[in-house]
Amino acid sequence: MSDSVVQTRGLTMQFGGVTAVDNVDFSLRRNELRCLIGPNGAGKSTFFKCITGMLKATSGEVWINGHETTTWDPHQVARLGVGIKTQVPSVLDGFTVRENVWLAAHRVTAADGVASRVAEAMERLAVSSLANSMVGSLSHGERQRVELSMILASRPWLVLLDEPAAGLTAAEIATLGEIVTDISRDAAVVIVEHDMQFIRSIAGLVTVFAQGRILMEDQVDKVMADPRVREVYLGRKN
Amino acid sequence: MRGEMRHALLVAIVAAIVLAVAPALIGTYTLTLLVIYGMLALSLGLIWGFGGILCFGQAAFFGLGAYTYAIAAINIGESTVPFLLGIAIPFLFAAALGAMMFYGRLSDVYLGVITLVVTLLFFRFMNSTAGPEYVVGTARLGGFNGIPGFQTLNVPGDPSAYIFGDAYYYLTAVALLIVYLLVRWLLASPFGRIAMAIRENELRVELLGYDARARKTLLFSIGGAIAGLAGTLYASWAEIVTPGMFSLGQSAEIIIWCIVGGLGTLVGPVIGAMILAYLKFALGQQSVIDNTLVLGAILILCVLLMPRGVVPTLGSALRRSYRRPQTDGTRRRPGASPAERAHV
Repeated sequence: MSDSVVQTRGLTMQFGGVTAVDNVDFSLRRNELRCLIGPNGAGKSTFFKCITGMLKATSGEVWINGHETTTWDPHQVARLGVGIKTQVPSVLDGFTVRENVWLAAHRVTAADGVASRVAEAMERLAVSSLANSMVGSLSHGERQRVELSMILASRPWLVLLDEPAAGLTAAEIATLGEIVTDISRDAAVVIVEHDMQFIRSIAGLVTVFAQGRILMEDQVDKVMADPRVREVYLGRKN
Repeated sequence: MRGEMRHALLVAIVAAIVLAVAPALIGTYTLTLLVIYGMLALSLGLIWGFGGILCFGQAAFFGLGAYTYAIAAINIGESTVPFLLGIAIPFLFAAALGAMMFYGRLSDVYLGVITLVVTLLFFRFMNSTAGPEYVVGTARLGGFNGIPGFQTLNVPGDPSAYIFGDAYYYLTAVALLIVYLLVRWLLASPFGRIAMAIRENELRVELLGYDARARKTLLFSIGGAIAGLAGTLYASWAEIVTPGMFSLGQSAEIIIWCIVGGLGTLVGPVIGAMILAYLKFALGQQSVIDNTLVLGAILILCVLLMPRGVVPTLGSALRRSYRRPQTDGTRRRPGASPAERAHV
């Protein structure tokens, strides 16, 4: 398995006659920050769901930290120390911010350390002032931060984020860039994202998806300058 | 958690006072049945109101508990072991049924249909057991006529010391209070909080590493055990068990009790059950109007005017009356968080 913490081999996902992910070989090293980009329908979110256990691949293998997780359920993947953020903020609207973050901290922390971990995670995502607010009453950006706070409270070594910048204002995206950079100091991070400015702000290696396959992998500037990427995004070569 | 249990104790003390003075107004024979129905409603209130599991077949565990007790009491004689079996068998049956449903990823309406079908299967089967070949040990199942003439509850170890009349009422009342406190403790514990979180957003809870299927199965089984306990107490009160315990009408009534009383609380379903069951009893003594029409009208009015149920609506009104101005700048929705709602 070399030094890869996430690896897929020939990963394929079909829905009826449509092949959303087509024979993808992917590899992520420890503490690496990787962005997955591609136009709508490129298969990146389906690929993300296959890694997290939300979808079971039609064929191929998924390996996380030496475990073959191809047929695992999301809770089993999460128990390996993987923090997962879905495309639409998946939070508990009827609970307070503190209760949301407690839920994440409780599973991985001894009872006497939960309160301090909750406080630390809320502080890091600047949601401490909202601790007693109902999550359902918060703005989209605040809900995104609550979800990230939950992920941090579970102290993951691998963080998988599906379109974390979706629906955020420019200021919120700038803050998110800082948060992701901060998270990547302690954990490997995979981000599925559309927003190229956001991707530039966090740099790292970029994997480009097109028609269910990996088109190329390189540094962000090289990817942006590549005519093949322009073609799949814009439908023309320059 | 300590604060929540203090609150639970306060509710239990108030309930104990009400239950202690109630015999001055209503006979203990009728009150006993109301308390048993309250416990049955509480079992559904727990799994539906806090676990989000809409079980149309809570009557199955109620009937199973009663039949288990009756069959075991005929075979064993002394009531202690039958009493425990009346709780254990519904727990195990609910565990097996729950595991099949939750590990099969069934939810919502499918879950409701399956639990209803299981209940009706029991109903059909028990109705067809009139022949002498349907016998468990020395207990004949009796078909439509059910099983009469078994040993009712006695003081543990002394089969001749029956518990009946007023003593039986106080026993069921204490049992209800104990079950209430245990359920409140469960809901205040991490298990209960996670169960409520699963009801809110199962995917998020799974993405945090919790096995929602196992937790839902356990919660469902606990609900089955409480319904089984109610069935056991009912069997000893009625001194007969019949297939009617598994009927569609019985299943529907439990759901109506919860809706009228108020989901998301424990006291709500208990109060809903006691009021509606008493109303049904009182209306049954006259012949001017059919009692199901009146109960149906109450359900419709309640759904239209108090969609959250009687207890949560009254609770919100009381909170509004006594609420202090909010000064910490936090934003709250009307109502309370699940953990706060669990206080009642």
